[in-house]
Amino acid sequence: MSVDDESPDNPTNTLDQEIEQALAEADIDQSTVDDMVADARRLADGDMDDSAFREQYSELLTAIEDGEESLPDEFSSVLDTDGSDLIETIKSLDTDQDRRAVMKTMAAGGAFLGFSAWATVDDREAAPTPALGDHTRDPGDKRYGMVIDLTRCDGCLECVDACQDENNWSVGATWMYVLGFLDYEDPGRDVDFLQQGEANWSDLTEALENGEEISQENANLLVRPCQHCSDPPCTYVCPTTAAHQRDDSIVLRDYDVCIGCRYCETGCPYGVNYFQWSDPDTPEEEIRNFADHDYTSRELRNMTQEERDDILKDSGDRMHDERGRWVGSRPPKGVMGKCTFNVHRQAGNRGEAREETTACEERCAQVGRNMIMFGDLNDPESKPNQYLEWRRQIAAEEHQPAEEFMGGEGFDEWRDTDMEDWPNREDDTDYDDRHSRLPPGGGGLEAVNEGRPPGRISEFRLLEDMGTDPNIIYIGNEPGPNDKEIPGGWDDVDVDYDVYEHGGSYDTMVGGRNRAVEDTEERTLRFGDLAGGGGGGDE
Amino acid sequence: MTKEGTIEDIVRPMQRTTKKWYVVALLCVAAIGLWQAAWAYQLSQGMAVTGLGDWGTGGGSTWGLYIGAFIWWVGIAHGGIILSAAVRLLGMKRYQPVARMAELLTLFALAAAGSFIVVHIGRPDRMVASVILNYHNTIHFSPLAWDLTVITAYFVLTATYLGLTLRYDIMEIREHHPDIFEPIYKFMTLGYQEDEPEIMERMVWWVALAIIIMAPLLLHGGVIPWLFAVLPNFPGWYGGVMGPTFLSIALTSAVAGIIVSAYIFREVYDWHHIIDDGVMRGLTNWLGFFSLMFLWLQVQQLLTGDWHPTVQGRRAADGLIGEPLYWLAIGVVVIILLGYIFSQAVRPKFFTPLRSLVASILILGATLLEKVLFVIEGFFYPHFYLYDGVSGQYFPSVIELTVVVGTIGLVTLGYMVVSKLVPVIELHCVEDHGHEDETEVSS
Repeated sequence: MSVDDESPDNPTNTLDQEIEQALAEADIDQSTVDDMVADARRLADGDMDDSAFREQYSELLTAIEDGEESLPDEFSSVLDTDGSDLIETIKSLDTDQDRRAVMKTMAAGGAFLGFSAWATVDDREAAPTPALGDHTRDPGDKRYGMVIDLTRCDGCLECVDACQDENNWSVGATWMYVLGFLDYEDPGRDVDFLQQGEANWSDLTEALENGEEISQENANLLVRPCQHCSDPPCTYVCPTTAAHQRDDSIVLRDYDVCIGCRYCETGCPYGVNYFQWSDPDTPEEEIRNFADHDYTSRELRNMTQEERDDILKDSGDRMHDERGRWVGSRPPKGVMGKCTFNVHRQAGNRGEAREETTACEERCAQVGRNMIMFGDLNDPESKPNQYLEWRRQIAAEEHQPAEEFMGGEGFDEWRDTDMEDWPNREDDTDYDDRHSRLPPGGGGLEAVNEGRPPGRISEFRLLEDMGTDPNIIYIGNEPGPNDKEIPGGWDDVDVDYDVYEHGGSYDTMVGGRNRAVEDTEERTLRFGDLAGGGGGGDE
Repeated sequence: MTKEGTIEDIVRPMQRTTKKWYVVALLCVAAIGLWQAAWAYQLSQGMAVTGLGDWGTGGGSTWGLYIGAFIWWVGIAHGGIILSAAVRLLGMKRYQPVARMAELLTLFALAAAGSFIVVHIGRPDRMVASVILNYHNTIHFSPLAWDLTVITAYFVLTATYLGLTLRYDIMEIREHHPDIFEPIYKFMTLGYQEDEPEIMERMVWWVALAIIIMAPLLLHGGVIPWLFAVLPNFPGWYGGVMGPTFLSIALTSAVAGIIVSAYIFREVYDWHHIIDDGVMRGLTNWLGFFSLMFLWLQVQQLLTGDWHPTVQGRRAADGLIGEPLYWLAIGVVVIILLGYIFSQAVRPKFFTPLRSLVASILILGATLLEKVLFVIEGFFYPHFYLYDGVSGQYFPSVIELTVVVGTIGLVTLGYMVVSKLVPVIELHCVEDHGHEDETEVSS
């Protein structure tokens, strides 16, 4: 890293500040820490031997091992295994400059703040912080992503609704999807109406059909936009370059290039792609009406960047990004579409206030849940990173959360602006009423943190074993391999959350039937349609 | 050979055309017409007229009969040319009468396979602008771009192969040709020289070698299975056994295809003495051998998928095991293998060409079914199984089935038209009694 050591851009410095903060909280003497850092370097360089190091810091090491020293719990589990690992690990470090920060982190009071960073840092530059999510791209680039706090989700489906309002996708093409899931292999844990040992998935379906209730204490929710992977398989399989990734990590489909082979949908492990099987529900004129210009994609692309910016910025255009490529809003017939991270907003087309926001995030905040955080994951000051930090801090301090996550100044600014701008916003009290219920899992952070070591929050990314390096960071319960979506859409089932009433998504399920399936089936030409004298499309 | 074939026998189809020919040709044209009408309807209404849908929350199968039939036709094509090249390389003169039929089958089957790609995609009008013009970027990663490359390469290679071997035949029998085709023949024999056949023979040998080397590495043992085998998100597709599996199915269906075409030609043009029972029985034995390979590789998949697999792997394997249509496909192959092919191998009296024809048609049906199931079962048992609560189903629509019928019409018509233009059996087959030296050239 050629950045000046004292520069605030140097990730090491940020790291140091974090270490100091953690140590301050952990009540460890700063001078001891400084000495240990220096000696750890000597140890790693071979200028100091094991026994000397062990003797010098025996008190601290023993204290750590015995659990007398009150380190944040996140690190103590590592130490619990074997105190001597500390010395071995420090010795095994390379001594080059770039790894000093990691070493220092590890040595720092034995705090092991960086132990998790060490596990992920590989040969990359010193990780900015372990907290912010590692990445494979040029650290100078933006890397848009989200933190989604599932523990605060109540399954209201407003994010799905907002996504549809913004992008106008057709029925069934749920770019944003919310589902309730259970481990159906372990019914005793998850479903209280099923008998232990006898349960299987059809029992559950049957039980739901009979109007029995789901045990809401054990049901989980998953909010699923496109994962905008750093290593997106969809872009590798595409035979045209229509599926591509921008420098800011947003993964898109170019509607002017796509041939509709659906290989991206096949290559994606998450099932986030939605093909436009017939004419879209919203005609193109309506989509174009959002913009106060009538240039085509080709004309926009042929302009200079300056000309294009003049036209697109604040124009309300939802179809084009700043490159003039048609990548936003629902796709035309015969072409693939999916969540775009509202790329038109990031281009400034909907005004400066909506840059670095998405419609789902905005609505979620407006309805009072405020659990979707969109922003640059490479920026420690971005909303998602601040939110993560806030959640970890709450957990570490073992106290209940403040009223609400308020973020930084920027956060308040965009949210307040948008709340004023939101034309169809319902009265606050309506939302208050709807969201006074506790989310599944017993409600809020209080329950989520219960029984969990302080300092730990349950974070995960979907299907990390696929090597896609997804940029959605979830807080909450990760779905296991045996988990399945709770079949929703039963009108006669008395459940509290929209997600069950509508089967995972915005009006997707009606009367236990999947509307997406029905919609395409209605247009499918079957022998029966021929015998009936008309094509399926006429119905 | 029981009696010697003559050049007259071979050129007979080019001189006489019966009413039956016109009737069958008309049926083929009708099938192709239906396919075109179905495609036009699909283009106007969108892909929703097919039985396809989005996997996951859409509860559908993103790819279906179109891709299954694409693999099937490509398999027949690749198998056909591999067998033809093997005949040439190994000097298996016994099968020389069917070598050109296999080459023609390759060309027509590739055309049929290409048609399936075109009808499969939502915007076929963009093939050139989006695929060809971005080729230099996509070829580094996209298995579909590799696919396009090797299929084109094989089409060119096979056409070259066929074109080269036809030059001699056309020169030899020019006086038998109908005059109206004279411009075509002139073009195909452009620059022909008297001493050419020997050189051609050597060139063709090298092309055959290239085909044999490329086939398992790049074609049905390579790029085509890689379209699926490289995707870990669908455990039913993922893994190294897919290359050998695809190759075994390709060879099985190709031999079946060759048996069908050989049987029809020998019946229609009374070529029993050229394509004799020995050839038919030999082909039947090859069909048995490849069917056995096919079954063996299915066992590999089922065993690794069900012994002590991952949660997702077991789900995919159980899905297959629980699918009655899969057992229909496998059952057909097992019954034909044990009930007929093995039996006739042991007891020659069980063999009749007609039985071999029926066995081949059934095996063609079984391999098509297996290919389609392979594609859709993948989508229904993804690694990310969470969406199961909204699962749907897939059954091919009228549109999709029409295209299958249309492509069968296309291949049939292709054979019928070409048989009027050029000899579908190499003249060497009836001349070789006086040309023993040619085997030396090729060895």
